[in-house]
Amino acid sequence: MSRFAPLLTLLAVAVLGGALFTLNVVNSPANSTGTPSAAAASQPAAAAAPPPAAPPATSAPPAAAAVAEKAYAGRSAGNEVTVAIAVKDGRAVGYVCDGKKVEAWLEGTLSGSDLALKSKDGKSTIAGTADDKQSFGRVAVNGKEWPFAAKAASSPAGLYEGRAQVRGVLNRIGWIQLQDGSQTGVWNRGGDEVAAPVLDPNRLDGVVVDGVSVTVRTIGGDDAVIMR
Amino acid sequence: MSAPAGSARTTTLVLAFGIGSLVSVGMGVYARLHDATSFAFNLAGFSSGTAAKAWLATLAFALALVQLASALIMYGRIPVRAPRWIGTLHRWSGRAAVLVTVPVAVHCLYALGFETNALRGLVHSVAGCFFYGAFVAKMLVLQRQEAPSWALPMLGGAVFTGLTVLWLTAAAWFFGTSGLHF
Repeated sequence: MSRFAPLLTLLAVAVLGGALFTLNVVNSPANSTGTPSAAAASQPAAAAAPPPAAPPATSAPPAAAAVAEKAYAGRSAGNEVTVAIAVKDGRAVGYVCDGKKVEAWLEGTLSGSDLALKSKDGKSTIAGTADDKQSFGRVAVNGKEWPFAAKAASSPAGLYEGRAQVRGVLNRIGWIQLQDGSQTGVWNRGGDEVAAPVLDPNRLDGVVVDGVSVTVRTIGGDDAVIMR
Repeated sequence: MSAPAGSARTTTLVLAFGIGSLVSVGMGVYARLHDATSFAFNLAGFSSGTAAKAWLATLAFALALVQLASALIMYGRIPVRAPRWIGTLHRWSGRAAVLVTVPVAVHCLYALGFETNALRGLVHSVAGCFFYGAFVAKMLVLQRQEAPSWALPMLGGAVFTGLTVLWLTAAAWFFGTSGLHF
């Protein structure tokens, strides 16, 4: 073995780590839009991309909200993601998912008719308007952005959240039930995201994952959905 | 010991420990500042995410035990005659061990980040940064023949301790809470 063996070992570790890391960055849902070269350079850019329209969620009590309490459910323009928003007394919560792997929980405000929500890490945002009948705007998830339209939802349509501790690991599921009866959801198993099991909106205690019963609740505008 | 040899020693140690420390701190800062994506691509064999990580880490820990035993034999701490291949065994089991940890660490760094909310996560995060820093320092010391004789066993012990803590705070915890499964 050459006298540079330890350095070669170091180099091998660095190369393997770098290769895996690059694969991650390139394949990350946050970066898979655009050209490969854009993807490679997009980590910081993606973080900066979402429109700065959203004021901080913690700002002072906003102007009187146009809608007191309402839930909206809809889709992005190309059906890339499903969007649900619930508002109550000027507060807003949201959930965005693609039913397979991508999801984001958001919180924010409804000020007048202006919606502004963002996720805990700030990489996912909803900016738009909401009135009695519908909500329009733009939704950004991990650097990708689409216009969306969501209609006011009446039960059972709306947003649902399920939680279960499976042998010490938090499993969290978000479901969006649309007015037309379709449903999308993502199941986060302690960091691994997969398609959610089906939720029967008329039987919220019927979901079981890995042998553990899931506690499901409907989400309103005054619920906390960002885990701190 | 003549002065030049002494200063070469010092330079080697300062360089190795300095670069090792930089690696540790750099990883920690990255893990803390970078927003956890909760996403990472699935390698072949990595389909079950956390379980696969736990098994890779367990393989690394098993190889680390080989490291410990072969090092003790090389340093004459176990009363057996060192076979001629013991050095080769030590080198290659070490390389395999650290390479096996890399996918696990990349997933931790990229998808999870530096955990400060729970004690287990905090200990694990610190140990992870420490492990790679110590590993880099050890490789750098190995590279230089003028390093003092205590440096190598000490760094080897540090690397082994780091990996043990990592394994206990993650893989052993995982198997303990969710059962021994693939």
